[in-house]
Amino acid sequence: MNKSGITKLQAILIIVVVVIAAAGGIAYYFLTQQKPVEVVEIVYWEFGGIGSEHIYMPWLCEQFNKEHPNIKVKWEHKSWMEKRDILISSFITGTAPDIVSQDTGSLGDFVEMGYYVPLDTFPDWEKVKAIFVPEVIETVKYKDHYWGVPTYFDGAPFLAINVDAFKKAGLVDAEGNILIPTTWEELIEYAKKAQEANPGMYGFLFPVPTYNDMVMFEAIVYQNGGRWLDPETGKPVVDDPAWKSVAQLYHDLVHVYKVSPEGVIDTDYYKCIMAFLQGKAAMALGLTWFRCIESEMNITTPFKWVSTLFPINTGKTYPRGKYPTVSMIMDPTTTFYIISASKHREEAWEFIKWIALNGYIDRYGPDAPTGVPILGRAPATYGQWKNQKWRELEPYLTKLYEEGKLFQGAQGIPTFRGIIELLEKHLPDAVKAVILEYKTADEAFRDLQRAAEKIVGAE
Amino acid sequence: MTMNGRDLFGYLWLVPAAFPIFLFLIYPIFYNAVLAFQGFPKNFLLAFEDPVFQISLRNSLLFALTGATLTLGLALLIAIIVTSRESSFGMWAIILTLLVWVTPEIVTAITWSWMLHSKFGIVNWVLIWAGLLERGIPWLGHPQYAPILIVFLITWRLLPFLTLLFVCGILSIPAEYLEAAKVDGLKFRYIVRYILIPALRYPIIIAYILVFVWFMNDTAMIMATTGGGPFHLTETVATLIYKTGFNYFKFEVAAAMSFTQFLILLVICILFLHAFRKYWWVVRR
Repeated sequence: MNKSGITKLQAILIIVVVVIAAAGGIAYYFLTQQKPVEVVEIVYWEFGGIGSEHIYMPWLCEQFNKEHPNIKVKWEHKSWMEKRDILISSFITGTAPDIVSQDTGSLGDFVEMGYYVPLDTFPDWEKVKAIFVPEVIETVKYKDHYWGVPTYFDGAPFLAINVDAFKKAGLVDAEGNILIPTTWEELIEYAKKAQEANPGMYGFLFPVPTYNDMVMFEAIVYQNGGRWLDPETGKPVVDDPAWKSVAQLYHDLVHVYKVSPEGVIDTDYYKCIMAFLQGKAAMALGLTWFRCIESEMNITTPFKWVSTLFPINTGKTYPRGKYPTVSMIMDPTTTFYIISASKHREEAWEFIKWIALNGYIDRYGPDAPTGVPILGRAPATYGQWKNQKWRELEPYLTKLYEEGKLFQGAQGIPTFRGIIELLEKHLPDAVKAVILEYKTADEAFRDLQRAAEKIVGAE
Repeated sequence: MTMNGRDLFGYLWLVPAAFPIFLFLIYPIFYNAVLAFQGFPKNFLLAFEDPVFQISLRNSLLFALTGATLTLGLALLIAIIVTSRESSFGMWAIILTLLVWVTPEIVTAITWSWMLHSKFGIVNWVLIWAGLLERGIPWLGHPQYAPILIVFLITWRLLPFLTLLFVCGILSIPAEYLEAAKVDGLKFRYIVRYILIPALRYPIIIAYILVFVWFMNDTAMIMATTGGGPFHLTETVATLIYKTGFNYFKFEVAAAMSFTQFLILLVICILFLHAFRKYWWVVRR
């Protein structure tokens, strides 16, 4: 090839290279300019919870994110004590998350304010609903709609019993099992015997001063045939004998039977449980989450204890209320809700549905897949009730469940506009006035009735 | 007086500081007023008809008045005692007590609630051990003791800060005055009356207003110890505002309560400064 041929070939090669490079560049440009997979970010705020749950929830988000490349769920923990403040402020300022998990006590308030989205409008709601014990899923129902998906429930009223103290007091049957008080009369009798046999120990301890303590009081009232509002008329009925009897029982336990200290008026639920776990009381009133405190505080209780439903009032010594008795009231305190301000409601529902239908609520408990057991959370789903570890930990509750007694008439925690004000501002006054003998039960609850009529009437 | 470009430029430098003040102080006050006056006078009537608000208003003023006076008196006394000694022990003691001030209020409140508990509390344990009590008293749940203890606890918390303020005030008095008084053989009580107190009058006025406002606005100590109980005897307007807004969801009523407290504090501060205006003139001279 002559010189001019070589020059031509070089020119052609250069042109080819330039064309290929240009084509490559253009192709690369267009390929890279293609829209990437759009990732929708879902912000999930978990209010409160215990250490093991703060491991489980982010783990769940991580698993979900792996399986759903187009959705990214971001978990954030928020203070339980400030849950209302934070949620309301975020809603007003337009910084609310897509999903929250919190209790059902203020469900009515938040629904009325338009904060939540009804979940029964989403596809597959019925499938999700079917995994739950019916009484539990009913707790998230308000005004004909279901608004949340629970993960467990906290139930009240429950009784914790120190097995060793009972055995020392001879409160055992022929087979050596402890006697479980099933009536108020038995509660008083066993408390007296346990106190006598165990010096330095109170027979029965119950909490009084705070909101949570009043929820337990309210639960005993409901169990005793009382209600806040008459189901027919919607009017307050807190001067019903059911309310007065529970207050009278509290009074009598302190002053007549002397199995509880006057110090109950400065003993909140937490101090009450701590006292029980330190062996300062043979029995204590509480919710289902005794073991939460035990595990969270890393307490190795030096004695065996069990929990069961609080005894019922037979009506022999103390009058009962006129409404049907309930075994307990329940509050699923980690219930998922979708916030109405969310722009990604479908994706938020996808996340909640994925958790429910893939067995992750069933495994929410002592056998959590993270390897860190979640204790003290009562099962909300049929799957959770089948868990062997739970059954071993809570044999009495399991027995009640299998006998069909645990959920007999069980209801969600009462929720209506104004209830928080009544529980926090007025009910403690009535109960303390009776315990401190400032007022009779009749007087105290007459005053409460007036306050309730004013508050409910104003709503 | 006209403003030239140079002045305007100078004022522009204030914008970074003025902006957050407007955003976090002026705007919330304005917005609170808007909420409170919605449907006027409904929210104010609802607030004032509530017996708990009446009790809390009385409590707030009573706690602030007694608490601020007590705190001021004690802080002044301690500051005078500490600075009247040559030893540095007093100063170290003040620095140590400042731990109370720097520890978050909620932590100290919860600690006190345990210490005063009828069954677990070390206070009852000591009193029973000393033979002064037969059984524990539920101090924070008892109608007689709870209000007194609330004043005590807030006083206890504010005392170190105020003491330090007065110690600094005393130390800033020219040494010649005190030396001259000593040379003239002036008794200690006259030194206090004629030198220390007049020299400290400006910090005293400011401190009194500050402590008064702190007492009126304190929520953490009350919420974490008594929760406002028993029978609302420790409920203050500040705790009730919080509960009414965020627990009972009555924002407009809470705003009306808040606006009332704001007005009360404003009037008290103006009256107080007016009553002691002659001291202000001294300062301005």
